[in-house]
Amino acid sequence: MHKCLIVGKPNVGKTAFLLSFSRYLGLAQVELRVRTSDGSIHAKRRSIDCAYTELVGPVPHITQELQSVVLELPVGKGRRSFELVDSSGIMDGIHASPVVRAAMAQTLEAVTAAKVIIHILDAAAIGLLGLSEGVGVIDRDLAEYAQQQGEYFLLANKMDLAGAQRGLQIITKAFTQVQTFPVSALTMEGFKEVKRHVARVI
Amino acid sequence: MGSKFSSTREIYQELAKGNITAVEAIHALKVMQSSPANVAVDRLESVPSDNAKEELAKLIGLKNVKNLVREIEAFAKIQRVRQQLGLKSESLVLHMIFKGNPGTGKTTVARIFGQLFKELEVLNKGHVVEVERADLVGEYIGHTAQRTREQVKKAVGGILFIDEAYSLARGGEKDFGKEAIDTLVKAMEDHKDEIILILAGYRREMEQFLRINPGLSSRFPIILDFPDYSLSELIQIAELMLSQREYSLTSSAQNCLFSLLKNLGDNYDENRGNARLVRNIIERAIRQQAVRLVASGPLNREKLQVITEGDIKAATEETSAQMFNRWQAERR
Repeated sequence: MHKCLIVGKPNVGKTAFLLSFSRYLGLAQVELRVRTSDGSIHAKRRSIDCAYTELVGPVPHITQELQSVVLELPVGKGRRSFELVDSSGIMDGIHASPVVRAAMAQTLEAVTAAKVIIHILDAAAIGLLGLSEGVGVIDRDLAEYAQQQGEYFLLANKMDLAGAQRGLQIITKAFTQVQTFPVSALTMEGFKEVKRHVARVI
Repeated sequence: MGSKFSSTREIYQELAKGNITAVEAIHALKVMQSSPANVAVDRLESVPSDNAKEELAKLIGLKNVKNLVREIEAFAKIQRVRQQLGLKSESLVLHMIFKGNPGTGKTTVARIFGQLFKELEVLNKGHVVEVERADLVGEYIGHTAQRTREQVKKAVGGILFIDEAYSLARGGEKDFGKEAIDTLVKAMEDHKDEIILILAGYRREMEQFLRINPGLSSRFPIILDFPDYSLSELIQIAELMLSQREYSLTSSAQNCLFSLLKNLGDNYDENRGNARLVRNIIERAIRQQAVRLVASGPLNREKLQVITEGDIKAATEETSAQMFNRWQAERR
């Protein structure tokens, strides 16, 4: 089964996208396969609402492991399942917590194993801060590295917020070569295009 | 930055330990990906499956083998074009005899030939069935033909490689080996286009074998001689083996290996020009290096690659003792 990895800085909405996209594809509950950085695996079953309150929040690095959901998409005449993997946020600098650092290493390692890489950017934050701050070194480097590894595209998330339009402009200007989809994990705006694109590349 | 890390694993670990930032880690990963060492490994891995010719080209020496391959390749191509244009195309009889001392590359070449002939569409499967006398000769009357036919059946679409083939003729008139030969000859005719038979063995014994069975040599249009490797070829082989495994010799180790191979060549006639011996020495030296490194202090990329004079010496002490034993045993 192909892996489709979600990467990005902390708090851009990676987990929110995972859950919201699962809901968009018709799931009411998800079975999350959690793979911690020390290699152990466990599964937890949650309704999407419940998982949302548990796993999504304003504090960075809630996700400190790889957590994945198996999803199905109609491809051609049949359906194809793939594993959508959510990862811990990548940030610059040396993080104080060893758990977070190990999680970041795990994320980078997962990049090589993924067939499709979905890089999420926070369009609202980028719009607010402007180019130099919002699209940081880490995003550029990550984009460059991930592009060599597999199918790669960008999601400009949080399009429901003010300033996101400006952020989107900045993003498309900064990443001219890359396909960018404006979405909102909260309102499911733009998911139709993402779904179509994912079905094409898996 | 390129040589700072020896593996991607190390980069992940350094990141987890907090010695480098994520940005540095990504940079290092990118460098790692484009570095020539990794590219070389990739190429090595992909070779056996898709290009037997390159594999053959990598073998040191063996000029006559390479020439033969060029001829067969050209012939196969031309036959295919003739077929397309509706001209008569001949099937090529490619049964071969390999003559040469042990460790001169007979089996290695046979294995590559299988893949190569598949690529040239001479054979449809290209597998190599390696057999020896014991696999062909049976225990009672009538058993031999049955066993031999079984092996032939297995080899259809590929190569039947009979090592030490002269042993089929040993044992005189009543020996079942004769029956095996007769069955093989029949099979060669029956499966002319589907099987390539290769008889291999020491030069002297093979020549005698063919003299005793005059019908055989006419059925094997290709006779390849595998000459002993010269000293400089052996050194090249050693260097190739080491570089493929990402090791290197210090200059004193090189000298040591050189004089060692020279000595062996002078003293033990049979092992002169023996590539298998070189491989054993190299592999043992690699193990000796590992033993030395485990006992020593912190490791780095360079230490892990270098093989010293001591390693070679430690490796060959064992070898020459073994060789002496064998030599004595053969004299007895």
